[in-house]
Amino acid sequence: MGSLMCQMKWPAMRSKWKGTVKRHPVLAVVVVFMGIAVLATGCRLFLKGGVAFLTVTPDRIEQCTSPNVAVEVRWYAPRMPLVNIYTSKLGEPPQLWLTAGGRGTIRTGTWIADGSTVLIADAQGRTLARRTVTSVDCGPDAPHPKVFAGVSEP
Amino acid sequence: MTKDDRWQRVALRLVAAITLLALSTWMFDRWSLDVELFSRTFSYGFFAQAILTTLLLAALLVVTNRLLVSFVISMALMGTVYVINVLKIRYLASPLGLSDYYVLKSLRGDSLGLYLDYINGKAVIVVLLALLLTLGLLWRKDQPVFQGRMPQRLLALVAVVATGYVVLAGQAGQRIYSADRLGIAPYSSFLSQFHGGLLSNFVYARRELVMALDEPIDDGAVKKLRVQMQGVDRAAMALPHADRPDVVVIQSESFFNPDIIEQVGDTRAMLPNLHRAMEEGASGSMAVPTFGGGTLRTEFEVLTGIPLAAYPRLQFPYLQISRSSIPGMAHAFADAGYQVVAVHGNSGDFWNRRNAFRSLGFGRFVTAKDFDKAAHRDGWFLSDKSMTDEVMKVLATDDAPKFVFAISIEAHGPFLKSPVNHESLRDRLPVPDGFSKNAREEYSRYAYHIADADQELGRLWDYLKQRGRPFVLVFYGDHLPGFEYVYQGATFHNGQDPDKQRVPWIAVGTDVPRVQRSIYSWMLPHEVLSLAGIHSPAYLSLAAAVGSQVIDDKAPNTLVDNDMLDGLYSAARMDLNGQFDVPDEVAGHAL
Repeated sequence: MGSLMCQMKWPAMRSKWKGTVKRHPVLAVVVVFMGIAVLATGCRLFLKGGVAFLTVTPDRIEQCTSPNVAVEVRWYAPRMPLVNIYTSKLGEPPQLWLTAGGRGTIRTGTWIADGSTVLIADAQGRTLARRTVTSVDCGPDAPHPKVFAGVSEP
Repeated sequence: MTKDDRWQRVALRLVAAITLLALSTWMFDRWSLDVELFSRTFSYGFFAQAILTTLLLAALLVVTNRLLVSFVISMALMGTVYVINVLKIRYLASPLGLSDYYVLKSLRGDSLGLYLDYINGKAVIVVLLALLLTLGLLWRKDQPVFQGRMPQRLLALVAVVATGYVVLAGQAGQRIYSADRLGIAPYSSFLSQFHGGLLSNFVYARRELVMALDEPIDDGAVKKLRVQMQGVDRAAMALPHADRPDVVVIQSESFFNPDIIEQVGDTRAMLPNLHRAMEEGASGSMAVPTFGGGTLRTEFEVLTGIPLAAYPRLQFPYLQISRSSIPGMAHAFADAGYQVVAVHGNSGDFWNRRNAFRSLGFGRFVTAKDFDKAAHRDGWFLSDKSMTDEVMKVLATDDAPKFVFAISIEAHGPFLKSPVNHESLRDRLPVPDGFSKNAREEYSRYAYHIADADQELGRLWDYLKQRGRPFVLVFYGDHLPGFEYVYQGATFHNGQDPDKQRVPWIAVGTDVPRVQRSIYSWMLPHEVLSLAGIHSPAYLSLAAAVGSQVIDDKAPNTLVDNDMLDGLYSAARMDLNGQFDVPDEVAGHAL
């Protein structure tokens, strides 16, 4: 492979790349996007303290009869002695739930709903990982919370 | 390369572009909601939205004849939509809706400033230039898809238009973008977007908005309500006047009394005239149909007495109602021989006010361009002082009684960087210690502007008193301000959320009794007419009576479902249609 690379002349290589981009411009865009993603992940891995793993169980909840449920949160942030765990409901800013070590498991109260997000962040507030809970389809006959008639949105 | 090879390559590129655009748009969507970027990817909502992004790409492809250029334009458009969505959520606590289209439609150069204050102009210019440069370069490099084949291009155009029609206006679209399939949650626009995506919600909302006025009228419920309300006193404050008083109603932008926040102390020093009016005249709290923005919603209820809850799909009444005459308070004053004038320090085209006010019965509309040359800004817009000067000018014109409805704009957000003309005055206003740095800054600038509003209330009140003519002066806030930081650290005395708080209303003047009562904004027109001694139209009288029966101080800003409200909503729909014609002996008029 190395010798093949050495045999290829630079202008020829450039021309080949140009040809490829010309023939497959969308592919080129995808490659650029993926490159940016790889760079961002690498930057996070090596410069900003690493990635973290976060799971929420269950991550798809049954909301047809009860609007709120409890879920189990597991996290692992290898290079973090402490992480802040935030939760938020749709349309609301994240609220600090607890500060804990870099690895752990905890169960929430019954306040997780469809669209609720759990996120872990480092001490500087940088988000390390986030998970959003979704719901299973309840069908058209499912009961909805009472429509709030007094205040409409602006 | 054979013909087949070429089309195969084009098809592959097209599929790649469609996929990438759909995925990117969905990620923009998740980002704007501040949730996990891949949540609900490949759900029903994802594919429903992908149809729309594909249509957009296809339409651009037919027009530009270049795939990569079309792709970049589509991405830029989607990015713009979602950046706007983020800004709207940040400032108005609500995602974009199709109804915002009506706002855009009414935008003119002079009212564009309302929105430009919320964005970083330099960043927008840099992004636009970069986009134009990219498109310019791509145009040269990107090969035309329909290389000289006009019939194929025309065929593609027909296919795109036909598919667009089917999806956006046809029966198939109705099924694809139905509430059940998209998971529309009528109680939460956030949840609706989370389930179906913003663009799918637009398509769903479009049909809803078109039918906004298509609400049922229950004659039986109205008749029952009339009978029920016969014994209810709805003229408690009505006083006859020998001379018709001048009536001035000030709708004060974002005005509320911050003393309902636990962290804020006594506001007597900051809002002395509001407190004086509360001690001397009629006053109370007022439930309004909007929060953080949407001034015209409160304005519409005050001017017409029609609860917007009667039309749940009506977001922007002035833009969605097209009638030559809309009944309400202004017509009642005009019928009583008043000169009916509106004053507002902004463009008359904004919110379509100029046309709407004509329909509502205003004979004259004084807008920013009519203001005196000495009019000046404080904050982002013309000052309350300049508005008050114009109101005084209107009152001074001749001896005919006048009804002046003035809409202030000085205290319009955003507040964090809102300019103030007198920093020393701002420094003197107390700011809660418990707030964050940003919240303190935001609050102090807001406080400065509402202190100005209060000062102008006092100045106008003094002016009306010294004229020696009878008068009624009414003042209220249109909604609570759209704070970005204050609400994060604020708690309210009644334990309710910010969007469930009420605004204050006061009325002072000749023979105005000292009473306190909570009202809905749609009850105010009857109160104003009664205080002026003007015959209140039957519908307004009925609405005030029903409101007094259903308002609940323990559940601020909420309307409980009951038969009376069902009847009232039907009555309101009849009134808007010009069908509410009740004999005096049945309606029991105010006077």
